[in-house]
Amino acid sequence: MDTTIAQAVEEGNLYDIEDMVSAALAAGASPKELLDALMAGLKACGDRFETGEFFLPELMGAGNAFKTGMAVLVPKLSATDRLSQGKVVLGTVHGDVHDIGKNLVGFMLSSAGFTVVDIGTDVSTEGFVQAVREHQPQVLGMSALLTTTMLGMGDVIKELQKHDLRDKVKVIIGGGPVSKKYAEDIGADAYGNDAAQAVSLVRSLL
Amino acid sequence: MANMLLTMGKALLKHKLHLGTLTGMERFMVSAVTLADRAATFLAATNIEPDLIDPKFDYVLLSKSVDANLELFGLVRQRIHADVVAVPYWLGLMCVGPAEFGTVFKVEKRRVPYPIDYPIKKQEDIDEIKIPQQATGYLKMVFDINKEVQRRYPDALVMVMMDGPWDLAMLLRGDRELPNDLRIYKDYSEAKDQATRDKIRRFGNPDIYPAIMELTTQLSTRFFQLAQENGLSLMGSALVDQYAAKPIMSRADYFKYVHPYRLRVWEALGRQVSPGYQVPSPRETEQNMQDPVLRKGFGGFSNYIFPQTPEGVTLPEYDQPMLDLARKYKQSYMYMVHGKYLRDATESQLDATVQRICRMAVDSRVNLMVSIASVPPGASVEKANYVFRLVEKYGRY
Repeated sequence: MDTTIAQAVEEGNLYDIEDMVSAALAAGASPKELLDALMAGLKACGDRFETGEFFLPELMGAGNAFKTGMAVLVPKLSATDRLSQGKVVLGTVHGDVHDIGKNLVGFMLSSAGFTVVDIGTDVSTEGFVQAVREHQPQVLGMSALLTTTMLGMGDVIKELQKHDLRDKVKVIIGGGPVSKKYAEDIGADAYGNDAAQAVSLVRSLL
Repeated sequence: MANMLLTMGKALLKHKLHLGTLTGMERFMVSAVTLADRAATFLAATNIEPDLIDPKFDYVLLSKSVDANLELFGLVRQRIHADVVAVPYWLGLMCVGPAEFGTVFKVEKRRVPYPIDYPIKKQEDIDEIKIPQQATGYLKMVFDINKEVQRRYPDALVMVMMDGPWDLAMLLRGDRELPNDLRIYKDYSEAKDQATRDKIRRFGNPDIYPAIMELTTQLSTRFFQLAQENGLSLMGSALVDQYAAKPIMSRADYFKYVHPYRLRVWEALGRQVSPGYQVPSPRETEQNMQDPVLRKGFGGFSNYIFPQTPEGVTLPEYDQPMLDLARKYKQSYMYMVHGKYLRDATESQLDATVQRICRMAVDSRVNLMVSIASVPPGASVEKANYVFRLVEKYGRY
C-alpha cells in the first residue's frame, strides 16, 4: 500500500493528493492499491478523531483530500474494486438544520468502507421514505439536535411501516437529545451516543 | 450594580449571623463566596418548552411580542421552584443579533427558531455588514425584555449573554463553511513555503477566516456596548463561544485561532465580561484555571459538555474530580441534569442521581449548583420541580 498517499489523506493534504495519485498511477500502481491507500488514510483520521486527537477541521480536510484523490481514481477503478461494506442513507430530520453530527457519522462510515448517501438536513418524512425506496440502503440513519425535531424520527418509522419498507432497512438514530429509551419507544433498531460509535453500531446490525 | 453588591453584603451577613433562611437569590450569592446552607438550584427560563407552561405560547408569538416573553417569564417564575430563574426570552439564536445582518431564521410555532441561510457567501459579503450604531430587531427586543424584567422583578438575575467572535461567525457564515475556512487558513498560515501557499489558494480562500473573525470581534464588542447603552449592566455578563470547543476544534486551535479574538473583546470591554470556555473534562477544567483569562469564566466548572452515559447522565467518574477541583479553586460545581434524562428517567432514577451528586458535594463541603439543561417535550414542569425538591432534601451542608 502507498503509505505516502494514506498519510496525505490522514493529514488532510488536499493540495497535493491529486498530483500524488496521478503520479502513482503513471508509475504503474494499481487503482485498487491506491484506493486502499486513500481508505487507510481516511480510517487513520477517523481513528484519531475517535481517540480525541483530531477534530472537525481535520476530518473535513481528510474528507476533502479523499474526495479529490477519488476524483482521479474513479475512472480507473473496476466494479469489483469499488465493492462497498454496505449502503447507509443519512439525514437530519425535518425542522432541524444541524448537520455537524450527521457529517461526522458519514465520515466515520465512509472511512470504514460504507457507501454513504447523505440526503442533507431538514429532510421531510416523505424525503426519508423516498430515499429508502430509491437507494435501498441496509441502514437508515436519522439525526436531530433539538428536542422538538427528534419527534419526527418516530413519524419516519411509522411511514416506513406504512409503505412496507420497515423490514427492508435497519434504522439507527442519534443526536444530543436522543436516548436509548427513545430509540426503543419509537421502534428504532439502535441508538448511537456519539459519532465515534457509528461504525461498530452499523456493523452490529448487518 | 450597587444594589447587587448591597444584596450580596446583606446575604452574607444573614448567613453568617444565622438571621433566618436565605432566599434563592441570597443563596446564589452566598455560594459565590462561601459555603451556603444548601446546594443552590438554577434554571434558564428559556430552556423550558413554552407550551409546557401554557399552549397559548408558541415561538411565532414569542418572536414577535416582548409582552408575551415577559408574561411567560412571569409564569415560569411562579411555577418553577428554583432558587434563581433567569434568561427571560425565547428567541433561540436570534437573540444575539445575527438576524439583523442577514442570517435567515425559520420561525415555526413549535420549534425553536433556527438558521436556514447565512449572509456571508463570499469575502465581499463581509464588507456589506456594518457595525451597528443602535440596537435593532431581535437584539433590541432582548434588551427591552431584560430591562422590563429588571423593573418588574428587582430580585431577578439579569445576565447579558452575547455570542463571542467564533459563535457569531458560525451564525453569519454557517457551521459547514466556517470550520472549512479555518482549515484553509490554518494550512495557509502554517505552510512552509510560498509554493505551497500558492497551491492552497487554488483550493480555497485563506483570507476569509481572519476577515470574518475581525468583523465578528467588532460586532461582539459592539453588542455588549449596546447592551450597556440600553441600560443593562455587564456585571455577571458572559461572552459565549460554545462552538469553539471539542469536537468542533482542538484546544490548541482554540488558543491559536479563536482565543486572541476573544481577548480583544474582553479587553475592549474593560475586562468586565466573563469569557467562559466550556470544556469536556476535569483535566481541561484545571488547565483553564491556569489561564489568567479563562479562570474568570462563568460556567467553567460545569459538566455541560462532559461525555454522558446512553441515558444522558454525565459519566459518574467525572463528578468527584470536579468537586475536588471546585474545592481547590473555591468554585461551585454547576451540575446540569440533561433534558433527555429528565424526560426519560423515572422518579426513582432521578432520586438516585440527585442524591448521589448532592451527597458527594455535602461530604466534600463544596458548593453545588444544580440546573436543568432543558425541560423538553415529554418532560414536565412538575418533573423539573421534583429535581429541585430533591436538591433541597439531599443538598444540605
